[in-house]
Amino acid sequence: MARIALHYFPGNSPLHRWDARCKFFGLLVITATLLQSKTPWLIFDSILLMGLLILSRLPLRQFFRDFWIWAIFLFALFLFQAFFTPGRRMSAIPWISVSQDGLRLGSFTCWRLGLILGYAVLFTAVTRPREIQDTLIWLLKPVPFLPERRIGLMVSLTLRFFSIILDRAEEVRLAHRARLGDQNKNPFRRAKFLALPLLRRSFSRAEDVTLALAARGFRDDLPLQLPKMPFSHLVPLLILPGFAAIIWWFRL
Amino acid sequence: MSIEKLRWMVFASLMAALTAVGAYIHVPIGPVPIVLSTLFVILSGLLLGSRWGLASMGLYLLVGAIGIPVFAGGKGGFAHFFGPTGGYLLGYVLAAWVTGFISERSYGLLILDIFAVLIGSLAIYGLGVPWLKIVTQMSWPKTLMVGMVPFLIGDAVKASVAIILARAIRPILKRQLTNE
Repeated sequence: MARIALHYFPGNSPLHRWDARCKFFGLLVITATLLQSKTPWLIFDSILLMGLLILSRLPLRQFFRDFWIWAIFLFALFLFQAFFTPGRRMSAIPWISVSQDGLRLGSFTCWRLGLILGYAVLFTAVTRPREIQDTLIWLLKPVPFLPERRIGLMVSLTLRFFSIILDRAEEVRLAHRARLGDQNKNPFRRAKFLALPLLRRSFSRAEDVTLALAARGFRDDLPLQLPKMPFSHLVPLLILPGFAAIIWWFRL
Repeated sequence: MSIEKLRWMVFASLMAALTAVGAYIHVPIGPVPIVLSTLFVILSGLLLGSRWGLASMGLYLLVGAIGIPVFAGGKGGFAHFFGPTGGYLLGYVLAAWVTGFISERSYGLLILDIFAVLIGSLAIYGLGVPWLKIVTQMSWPKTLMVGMVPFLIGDAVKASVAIILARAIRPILKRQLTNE
């Protein structure tokens, strides 16, 4: 999953060129709409995501290949909700203890989570880490007593580490399985043999990052220089309030 | 900026990322799911201390608030703070700070580390359970049954694992911090 997902993927698509501040506000609005439990919103967000993925010109096959672990996770969540949500049994399949409510709730949750993941992957794929950092600095600058540059750096490091840890976890898990470690059911021993190497490697990697930052002379007192936001970049953001107005008007 | 400060910043980012990864290992058992994140919340307090533990969890919440899917089950967005799990999320910050505060004064004593982890775990419920009650309008006994009781055994296991990991990782951290 982590090979490409949640990493920046270089490109020259309209989405790559779109101002990072606008992309950021777009992501905030979209995640807020995804909390709505209304089907028209989810349909709109799904169509929009598909359109944006095509517009981004990203290697979608690679992205979908990396998506399989999330797909397993979503499927497990779906099964859990389908089997454990109380409600009326399905008359078509009485031998399986799934409820209609469970199936509906499970599908809805997975649809929504899939969209949240999809938008986050798209946002990080078309926005340089430096742009995310600068956008956060720009947003936090008006807040007094906050070290905005440090926070910006730490957020971009967290996103980077997130995908690195997933990669490392997969390596450690495979190495553990190759030594028949998965036969051991004791949670403490499993934690020792799985989590400890992962943490050791992660802290070692963190040390390398620290030295690299120090070697490049990281400073948190440099002024932020962002280009002026063109008005044309704000136009796509107006689509969302427009759609919200339509939903409100028709009481969908 | 000194390399020591940079190192703590990077470590805090790493612990925030580990907490985010932990949020993907979750079991949805009701309005509040069982997640592995709490293990890393406690661990960040034990390893980074009160100040950087708090910074690390604040960072985790910020990353989630901007829409990156790092909350339980791959959720993200500012609105989650107003949902049933909002109090637990804010409790992470308090838990990391409390655990770090006690652990900084433990001088490596196991009994004090256990005390730190215990108080830290309770701090999550200290904010989470009242918030869950306010949001869901449930009675106190029901809120406790839904938002605290099912997690206690898992929390005991996670707390024990956190102490084992912290005691194994601390020498590595100490070596890195002294090898400047």
